[in-house]
Amino acid sequence: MTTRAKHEHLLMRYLDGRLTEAETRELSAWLREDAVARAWLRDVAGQVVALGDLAREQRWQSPKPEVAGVELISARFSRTAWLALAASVVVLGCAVAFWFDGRHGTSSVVVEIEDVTGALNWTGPTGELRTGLTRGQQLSAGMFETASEGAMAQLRFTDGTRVTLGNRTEVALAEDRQKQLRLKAGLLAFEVLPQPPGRPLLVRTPTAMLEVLGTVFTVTAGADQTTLNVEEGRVRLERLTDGEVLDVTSQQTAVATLGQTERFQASTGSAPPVRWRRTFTQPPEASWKGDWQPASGAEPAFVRAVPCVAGQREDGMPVYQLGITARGNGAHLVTLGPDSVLRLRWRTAQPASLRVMLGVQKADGRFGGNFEVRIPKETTQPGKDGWRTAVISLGEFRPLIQKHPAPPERGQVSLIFITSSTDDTELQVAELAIEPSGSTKN
Amino acid sequence: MALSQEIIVRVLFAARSRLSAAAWLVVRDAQAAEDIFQNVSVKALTKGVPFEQEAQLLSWAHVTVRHEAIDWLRRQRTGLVPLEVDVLELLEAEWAAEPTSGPRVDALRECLELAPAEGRRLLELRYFEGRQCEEVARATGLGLEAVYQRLSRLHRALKTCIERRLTTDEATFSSAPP
Repeated sequence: MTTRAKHEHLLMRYLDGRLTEAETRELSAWLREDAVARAWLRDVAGQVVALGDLAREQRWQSPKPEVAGVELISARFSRTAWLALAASVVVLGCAVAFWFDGRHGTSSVVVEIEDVTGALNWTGPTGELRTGLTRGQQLSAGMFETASEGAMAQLRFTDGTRVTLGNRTEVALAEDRQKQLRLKAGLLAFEVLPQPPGRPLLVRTPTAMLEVLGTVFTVTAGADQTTLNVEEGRVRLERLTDGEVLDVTSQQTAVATLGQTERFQASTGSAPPVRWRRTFTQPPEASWKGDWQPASGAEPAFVRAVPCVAGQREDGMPVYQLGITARGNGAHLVTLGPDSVLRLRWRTAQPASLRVMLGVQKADGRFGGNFEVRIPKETTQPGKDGWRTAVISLGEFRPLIQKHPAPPERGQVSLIFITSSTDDTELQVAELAIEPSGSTKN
Repeated sequence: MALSQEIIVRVLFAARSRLSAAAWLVVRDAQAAEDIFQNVSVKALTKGVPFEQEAQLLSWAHVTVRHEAIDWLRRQRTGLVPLEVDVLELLEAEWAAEPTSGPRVDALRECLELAPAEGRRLLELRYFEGRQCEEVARATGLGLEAVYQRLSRLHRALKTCIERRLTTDEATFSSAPP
């Protein structure tokens, strides 16, 4: 064996963890002097990291039964290259402490998790934190939070009443003879069974109080606005700024804001349009995640990927990926039809594959599933300016949760999450649309 | 002016491959290397000391990755001995001098598809399933030395293939006229 062959053999055994201390010293001495060997070693290590990414990606693309979505978002994502930002944990922790006042502290089971995708956290009245919750777990009163892009959770009270938490939703929930919820931000979709006389289900938001006896409805809340959509039955809505009360009935919508200048009235609600297209001559709504860049010369306006919470590590630490999130502001983006297609115009600094995830809800507001498609870089060709275009039919999206194998009829898209499949590729999106295939530009 | 959190995230993302690779060279466990990278990223955002420049952040990240990796080895009591510190420092300096790597996973995927089935199987056992070479040898019916030799050749072939893929890829917007 030549000296080089001997040293290469030492290297392979080092990487296999089989060198003695003396042999490692010998290898170190050789590497100290041999730049070519060091370059080879750096390259092998880089390959191993890339192979690990690829292995995780392949596991990720093989859905598992039952809780595939949970695996995908909360566990598999955590093992990829995505950064954990502890700062967010601090922020979320503060939010939990603020919104759960502890009055309803009880150890009895209040809800069971019926369905979940993505990162779902629960904080009890004494500060106990449980992360990465899964289907079937039973929990007492506490603060629930869907902590990642695309996360959704369906909870069932002991009487069968269901509430679905949309993505990035924070809600404190308790039941002590009466169901009470405090929605800080996000979306809740309810199927409320008849409640005991005199003890309606109550939902409090920063701007409104809702009183419910038995109905199907959704409520979306932010710091300064609450939007109520009633599918069936009746909900009493109180605007907190002036105490004005409104009865909102089937197929009606009402908005309660901080200001009193807006008319406080119920109007006939309507489904989102079947055609939705977004370019960025104007910045996207505040509910989006992305860094807006205005048009410049021949360059179109676009949105650039920013760090988004993509999942959660097993220790509860959020993990971040650079991506763009589109979501409606108090309403869903678009109603899906059987011939709907997604149209995307994007570019990256290096050729890279993309992943696009759709969060879908049923027409009555209940969770309808998460669906994902991968756009391999080789399937599109960039123009001279680097922009690529893809048109993807709904049938190309695969379900992330087997319980929801296909988008529901007249499903409504509540969220679109776009990310590249590897490290920061400086993803930029100039156009995003979901529309019937016949109306798509070629 | 101190780097913003977003800049810190972007810089660490861009250097993830090399930082994780540096960790792996010490711990030789892909999952542990990934966890170490994540931990260092969290520290970068919470340590309370502002980073003024990207180079300062990267230098700190490399040193912290090395310390965390060596600590991990000690905690695990694996008996594994890392390369001597000055060699690790030399590798880090050379990594820092290289341009930031692009999206290698796509190139790697393409190259793996071109690899012979036996080679793919070896790589899957060793790196997808994380098996030691002795286990790979048992699973494939090869001798341990043969596994070392074939893995070594596969790494060389992958290096060549990936470089070719990355250099012949289509033009990207970074090279397009403004």
